[in-house]
Amino acid sequence: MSTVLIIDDDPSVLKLLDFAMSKAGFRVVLAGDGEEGLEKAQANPPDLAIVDVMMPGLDGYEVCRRLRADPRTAGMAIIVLTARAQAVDRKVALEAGADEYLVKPIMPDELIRLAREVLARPRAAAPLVELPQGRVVTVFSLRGGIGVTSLAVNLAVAFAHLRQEEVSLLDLSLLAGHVALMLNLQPQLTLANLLEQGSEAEEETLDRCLARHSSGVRVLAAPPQPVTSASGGGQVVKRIVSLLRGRFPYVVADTASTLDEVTTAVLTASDLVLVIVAAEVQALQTAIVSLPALRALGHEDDDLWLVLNQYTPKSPLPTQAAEKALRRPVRATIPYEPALPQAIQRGVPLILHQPTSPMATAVARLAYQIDKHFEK
Amino acid sequence: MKRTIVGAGPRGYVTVDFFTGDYRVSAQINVRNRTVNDILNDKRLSYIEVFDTYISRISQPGYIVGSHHVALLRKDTISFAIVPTGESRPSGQRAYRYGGKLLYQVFLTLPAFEIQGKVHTTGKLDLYAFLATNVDDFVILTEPVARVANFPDNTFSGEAFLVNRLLVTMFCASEQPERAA
Repeated sequence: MSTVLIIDDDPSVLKLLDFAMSKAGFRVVLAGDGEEGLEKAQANPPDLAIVDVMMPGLDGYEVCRRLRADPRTAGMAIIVLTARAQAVDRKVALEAGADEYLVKPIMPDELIRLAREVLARPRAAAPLVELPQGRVVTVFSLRGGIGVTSLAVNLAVAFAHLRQEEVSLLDLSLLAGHVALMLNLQPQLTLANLLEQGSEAEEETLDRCLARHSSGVRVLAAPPQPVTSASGGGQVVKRIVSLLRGRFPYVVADTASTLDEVTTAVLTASDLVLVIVAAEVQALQTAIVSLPALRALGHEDDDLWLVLNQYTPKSPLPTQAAEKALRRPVRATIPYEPALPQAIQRGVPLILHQPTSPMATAVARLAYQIDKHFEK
Repeated sequence: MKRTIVGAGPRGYVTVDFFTGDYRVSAQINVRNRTVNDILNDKRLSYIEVFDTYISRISQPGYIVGSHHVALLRKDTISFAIVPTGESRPSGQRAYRYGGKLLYQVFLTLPAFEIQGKVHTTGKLDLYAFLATNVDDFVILTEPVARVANFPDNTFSGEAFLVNRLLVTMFCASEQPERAA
């Protein structure tokens, strides 16, 4: 018997849905507001949550975001109910993590049919499967300035939260890496020290170079001064990645916007490349020319995920236009977040600064999506 | 067979999306035995009382920035309201003046919005009469779509709009009407 948690501030709706869903064979748990709903979901994760949007205190979108951000409830099905019926409301609900969206007033039969349909969809099992070896995920774009580093930083934190263990984050930008800055770290040892040691770098030295962040992310920071010539850098990076794979469930790499030796080495060693695009003509054109180059490094289409990063408040092109131009589906869309510059300025990843913001939720979902991809 | 509807709200209350130049306010309005049209066009009321209000900025109309149990809305600042068809029409004795047989495609601009839709008339559409000498401040548009001028990706639609003609800056209509079904 599936358990359904119904969160609505209207007692008459709770009473009606309790009656209808129980009669249809569901075990029903009721909550009168968002806070109570979250408490009940976290204490005893249901199979499905039916969440009203318009509630005092925590609104339904916020409840969805928090459910998706918590590893205990991230995999559950969610249906959002609302009297707000515009297309933009549906978009926001889906971005917040809802699986389906129903506009009030509704017939109970319609809701029961949808609940059964949503529950029948294949969902990832809640417990996390131990990965046989660490996976390397590279966040990459040949176009700079579109939020690649902040995405890599937040993704690494999301993996650490999701797996509840340390993950590593490599800043492989030889000219000007900003990962350490975004995490407010001042590491003494960086990639530069490993480059000096060459491809014989010891695991112990590597460990000393990994700065520790409170989130559980171990950071290999970029060289403090620009390194213009890193001959043999590719071999060093291969060695680093191979050592880190054995120690961490995830190795997230942030690269320079070039195809230099170091970047090519990590891209070749990656299990998954997130190709970041922005909804602008230049970024799309760059992504189009990047894909053949990445395939030439031995990647199948399934290893190359397009991620649309809406790094400005106004997107000159809609997502559909981006997908049409790229002739590939966008695997995830990261919405614009006005609080991101402030988070960067404070040296706190957005996922910690505002964990329930749409962007943080989208990154947490992406991490979850990637984790499930590797479980297969 | 009697069927139960979930979320229809308390008796006499209707959920309406109100739009001002800067905000979207989704709220319930107590119409009692009248319609939303009656209340918006009631000359005795400058404000309307709304309940369970959820406020969003026009730039991000899906994100709720505030919610309050009760609020007062100044009617003259409402650009348009999205209402169910039944609520768009006047009730009682005023109803006889509506329900035309000709449909004109119209395009309106208001500060912050552009709106497309259809108006019903009994005879040829007189733009001047419709916009300037109309008794009602809020006019009915069917099959309406509104677009935010500064954020053209943000569109809104619904069964009917009640548009504040006093805020209309331009009113365009098709030359040839269609016959209403």
